[in-house]
Amino acid sequence: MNGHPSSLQLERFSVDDLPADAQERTRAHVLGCGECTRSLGELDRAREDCLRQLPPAKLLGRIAQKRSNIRPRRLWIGLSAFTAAAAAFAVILFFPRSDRVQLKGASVSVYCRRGEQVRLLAPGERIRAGDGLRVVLTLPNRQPAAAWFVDARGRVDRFLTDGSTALDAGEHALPGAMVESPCIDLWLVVAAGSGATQRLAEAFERARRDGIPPGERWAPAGTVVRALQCE
Amino acid sequence: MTDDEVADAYRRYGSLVLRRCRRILRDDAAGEDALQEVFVRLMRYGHAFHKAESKVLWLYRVADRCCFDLLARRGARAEASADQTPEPSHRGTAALEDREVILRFLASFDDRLKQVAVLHYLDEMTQEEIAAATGWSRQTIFKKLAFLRSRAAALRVRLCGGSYP
Repeated sequence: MNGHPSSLQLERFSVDDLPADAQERTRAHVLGCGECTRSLGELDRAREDCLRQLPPAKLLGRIAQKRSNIRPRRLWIGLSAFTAAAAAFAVILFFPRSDRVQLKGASVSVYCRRGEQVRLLAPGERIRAGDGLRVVLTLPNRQPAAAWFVDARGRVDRFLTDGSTALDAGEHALPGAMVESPCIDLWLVVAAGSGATQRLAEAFERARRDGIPPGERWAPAGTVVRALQCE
Repeated sequence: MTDDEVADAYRRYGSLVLRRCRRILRDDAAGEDALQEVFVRLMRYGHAFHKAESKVLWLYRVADRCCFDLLARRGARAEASADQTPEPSHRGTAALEDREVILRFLASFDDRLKQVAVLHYLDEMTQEEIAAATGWSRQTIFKKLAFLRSRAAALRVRLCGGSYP
């Protein structure tokens, strides 16, 4: 091991959370390192203090209390929401508008920066090397989402991978990407809902295994796919 | 998850989670609130915890989320407290490290920057490790770290006075 393990590594080591080989390497380092031994001692003391100040039974009691406090409030929120929804439904029913916009599912907009100009890329519009791309993901409600680029070589660039974290409803600007030189065709694939990341990972893996060339056919059903082809 | 399983997880990982929450929030009481919230979520999403390869990393991601939510709720207050004179350091204010400055002003960043800041300054992860942990590109991580460094320099001036290092 070169140098000291990071604080995260030491913390994981202290609870036997590292993979076996890393656990062993860290153990070997700690045995000969006074500084890391001291840090581990501090972690042990912190554990004792924590359990003394807030024993597990007390924590469980607080959690139960918190949950029981939330339930009645949720009931009121539920009733209020139901009433509001009923009122909204009545308004929509009796005062129909012809210009209303309904958001049915996840959607994406791609903005392209070329030189000094930034503009919304129209469907079918082509990209070129050096273009800066910015993807804006719109979600109709709070849910996990995954947004991946796959290029014509089958390389995958993941913007959103943490499928367990739900994103709020509304627009989310994802990190920017530059179109490579020479330009390579790209497909933006967006999946929403629980297990979104896993669905994409499995579909991409299956496509690779079956020798399907990168493109729309890599995306599983129910995903939003946007082809960005080179000029 | 059952109460017993949550209690076992707390015995093993509770102090690490509490330590992390306190370091992010810079407030002992708020740290305890966040700790409770983490274990409420553990009770709710126990199946994901069971599947996680690293229990510590799973709990840390949840803890980060809970802390960021708390920071967002107390945003204005945190900013006000950040305006106070920094704690005296034996190394002097000139030696105020980026880490200390960034964690002090964490509430003022968006969630992505907060995440990168915590992974880099608390967990001491490299750019590559952050990219692997977040799924964001190296370029994105590079840009965010560069931004955090420049903010740290500017905020250090705000805290200590003087010129940029």
